[in-house]
Amino acid sequence: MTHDDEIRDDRDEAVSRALDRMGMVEPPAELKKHVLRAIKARRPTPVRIGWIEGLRESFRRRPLLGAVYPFAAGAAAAAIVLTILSGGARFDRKGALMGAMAPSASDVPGDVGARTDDQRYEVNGANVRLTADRNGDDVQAGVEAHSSGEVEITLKFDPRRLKPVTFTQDREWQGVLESGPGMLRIRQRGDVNVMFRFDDSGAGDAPIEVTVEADGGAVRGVLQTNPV
Amino acid sequence: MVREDEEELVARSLEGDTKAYGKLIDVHQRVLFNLALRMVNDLEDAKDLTQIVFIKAYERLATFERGRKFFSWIYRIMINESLNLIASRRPAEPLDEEMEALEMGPDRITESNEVTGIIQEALTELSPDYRQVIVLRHFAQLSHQEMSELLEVPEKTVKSRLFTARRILGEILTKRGVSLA
Repeated sequence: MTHDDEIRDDRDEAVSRALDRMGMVEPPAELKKHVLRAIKARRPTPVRIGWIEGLRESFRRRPLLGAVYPFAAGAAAAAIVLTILSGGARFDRKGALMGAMAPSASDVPGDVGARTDDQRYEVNGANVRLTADRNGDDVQAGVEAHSSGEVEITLKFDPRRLKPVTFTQDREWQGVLESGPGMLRIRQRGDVNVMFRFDDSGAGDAPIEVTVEADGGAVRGVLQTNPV
Repeated sequence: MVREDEEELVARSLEGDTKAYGKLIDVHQRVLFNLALRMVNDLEDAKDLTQIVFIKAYERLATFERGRKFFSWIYRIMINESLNLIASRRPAEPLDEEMEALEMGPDRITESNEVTGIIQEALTELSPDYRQVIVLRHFAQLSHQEMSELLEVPEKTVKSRLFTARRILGEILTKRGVSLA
């Protein structure tokens, strides 16, 4: 060991000692009472065994799903978070996340139709491109981001107009997909290249508000899903 | 508490036994609160985060897999919630005065307490990745292996991240005039 290494290790040890000396702060006495009061009104969200088992079976077949977290039980706040290792996700007719899926030919867009919007943003070193395409009632929102850190992308839309159908990405990844009424959010480290497909049978504008957050900064935009 | 006991408490909690969940709170609230406090550097936020984490964990209890360590599972939720809060804040927020007062005591400011305040402030200058390894190691007292499982990175990465985090922290403290001898 060189002299410099010794100094480095001594310093490391000194910092460790200083940290260990900081000790613990006692939590507020009422904390437990508050938690218990809050949970008395609710029960743990039951897991739909068949669904979970189905996902686990998918996971056994191929690395598809890391974890499934049914979120808050309240209807308005209902959201599901999926940690997806590969493949994509499917939504039910009400736009709620149903679970992960392996990508299939039918999930890959064929005729993407007409491009209705194409925007580029930069936020804290993250370069982001947002695109929207429409083919009849089929709307596709593409998000491509290049970043060295974590990127969070949130899409907000009128749930009465746009019904999420599928979520796909172009390669294996590990990210989190969250879904709520009129909201889709993905969180991932590094590059992102994903596509959300919506069904839109309504008339008139159906814009999608987009927020991209990276390294404490945020950029917002609106994607037009109808030709100008 | 051994893993089997915790699994039993989780099972009873799932049946609606809030006393069982209360016992899990008793066991983990101190460490979770300190994890939150050292991550977010604000007493009120730490209290809110700890409550939110226990409530979310309760709601997600059905997804907790038997055989896993409960603390590892709930610490993970805390780390994610803390990171979300940090990300939503503006960078380099000042040290929370209430916490500073609490750490320094109402009547006297000792040298060691002053150092504690400086270290806490210095912690907030570390990136969240570095901050989390410091708090998991030094405030949750997790082993490198436990941290590796929780953070889902190799043990080697944990050690290297921890070493770098302490090196940066040491540099910050030296600049602030704290003697590490």
